[in-house]
Amino acid sequence: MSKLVCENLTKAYGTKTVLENLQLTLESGKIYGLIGRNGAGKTTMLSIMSNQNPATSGRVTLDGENIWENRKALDRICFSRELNISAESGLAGYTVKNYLKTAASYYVHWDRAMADRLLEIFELKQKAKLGKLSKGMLSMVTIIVALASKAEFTFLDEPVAGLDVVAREQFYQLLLDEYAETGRTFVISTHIIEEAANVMEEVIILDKGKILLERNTQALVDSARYVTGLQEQVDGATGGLECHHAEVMGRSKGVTVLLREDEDLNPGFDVTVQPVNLQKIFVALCGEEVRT
Amino acid sequence: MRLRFWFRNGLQTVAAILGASVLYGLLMGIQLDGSELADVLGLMPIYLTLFGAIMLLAMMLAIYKFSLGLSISLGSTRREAFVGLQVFRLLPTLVTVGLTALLTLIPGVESFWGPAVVVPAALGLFLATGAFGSLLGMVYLRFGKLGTVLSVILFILIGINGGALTVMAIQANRFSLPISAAWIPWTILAAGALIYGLMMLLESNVVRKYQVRM
Repeated sequence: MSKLVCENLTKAYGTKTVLENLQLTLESGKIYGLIGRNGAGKTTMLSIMSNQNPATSGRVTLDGENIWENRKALDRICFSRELNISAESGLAGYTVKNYLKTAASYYVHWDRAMADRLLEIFELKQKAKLGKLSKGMLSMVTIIVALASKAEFTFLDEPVAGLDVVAREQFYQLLLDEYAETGRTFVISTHIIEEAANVMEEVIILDKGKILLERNTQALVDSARYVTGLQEQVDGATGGLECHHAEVMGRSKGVTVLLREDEDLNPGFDVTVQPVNLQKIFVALCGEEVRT
Repeated sequence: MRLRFWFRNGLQTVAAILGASVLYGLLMGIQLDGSELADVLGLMPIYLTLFGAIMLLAMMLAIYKFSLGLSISLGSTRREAFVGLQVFRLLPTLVTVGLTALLTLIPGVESFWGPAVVVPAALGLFLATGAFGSLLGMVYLRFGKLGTVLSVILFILIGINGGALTVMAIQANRFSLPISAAWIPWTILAAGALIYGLMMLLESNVVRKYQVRM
């Protein structure tokens, strides 16, 4: 099993630290979801893991070899980042065909048949200029690059940005089909958490440059409870447990609890317990406390 | 090494240079009364050199603006990108200078200069303008558009003042050129190669630290 490992990864721009001492191991054959607030450092982390930016300190290794400027390692990695096309950007004049042709010249395992098939599925015209495409269509182009690259470790930065719900469902299905066929490792950063939760096997939550948690998605969701009731009842039921994002409304209180293995709520308190979805877990971990 | 991208861009630049030169040559030929193909061909080395140098300078800025970032974002190493930059610069240089030399050898065509003058002079000019284009590109990366505009103005001012001072000094007989006219093209080549070499040192440092921000 191959492993892509971030060891003590730190990235700073001047005095501003964007990533702080990250430790992360990505195993082959999994789909990871990378979620975090705007500015958490997701794109920076993915760009360092794909040699696009240097780390200030620490390193990224693939099967023990440092990936920095390592041709052999980079042949196994693809980072299809969100395309930002401005009028001044030379990319605006590129056609879809030229962009994919350029991508094909860099990815050794490029699957041209797959790229052509995806162009048909997404109904993208090869001669269309990138500068004339909508945000959703640009996302489709990045998805094509990611899937057709056939790279062992493929990172997608907000691949569903701008896609309508039908296109998003198409993407998730294509991703799962590709995963089932090849066992490639995907890391998908996204803000549309609930949809992506169905495809993420593991979730990585990044907050202010640090990894808050990295866990199996289903296990995380199963371990979470949303407890509501009178403030003193909730405090009693959740005493000694890992609580997040308390919401106090007058005498009532709601709090998200993450239970460890073999843990449960304290018995004998009058509270309502509900399951919590991944999005609410994320908000609980990364959102601000609410008091009214 | 993944250099196909750079070769393709280099060839596109060659095509642009040739296209612009031929078009201009034909337009000039149409305007000049009684001009024949031989006359146009005789001037083509000048057009190729001038258009080639200008286009290379402009293309280098464009390369730094987005091609460098694009190649690294698609998985190129910085070493490959550095080599690719040299390929992109040298391919149009060598092709255009080669064509220029060939044109001077066409029988029945009277060129301004023979290949012994054209080849070193054109090569030196291409190397220098390619290097200046890279320098402008690196200034753009560091200081943005404003930096590039200021650099262009600075280069023009230096060029104008330097040229004016040289002419004034020669007219005042304060100094005479220490070299004979036959050595001028080789001096241009030497100067171009020196500028190119210095720029390569700077460029290797810039590319080595390049961060993709697309």
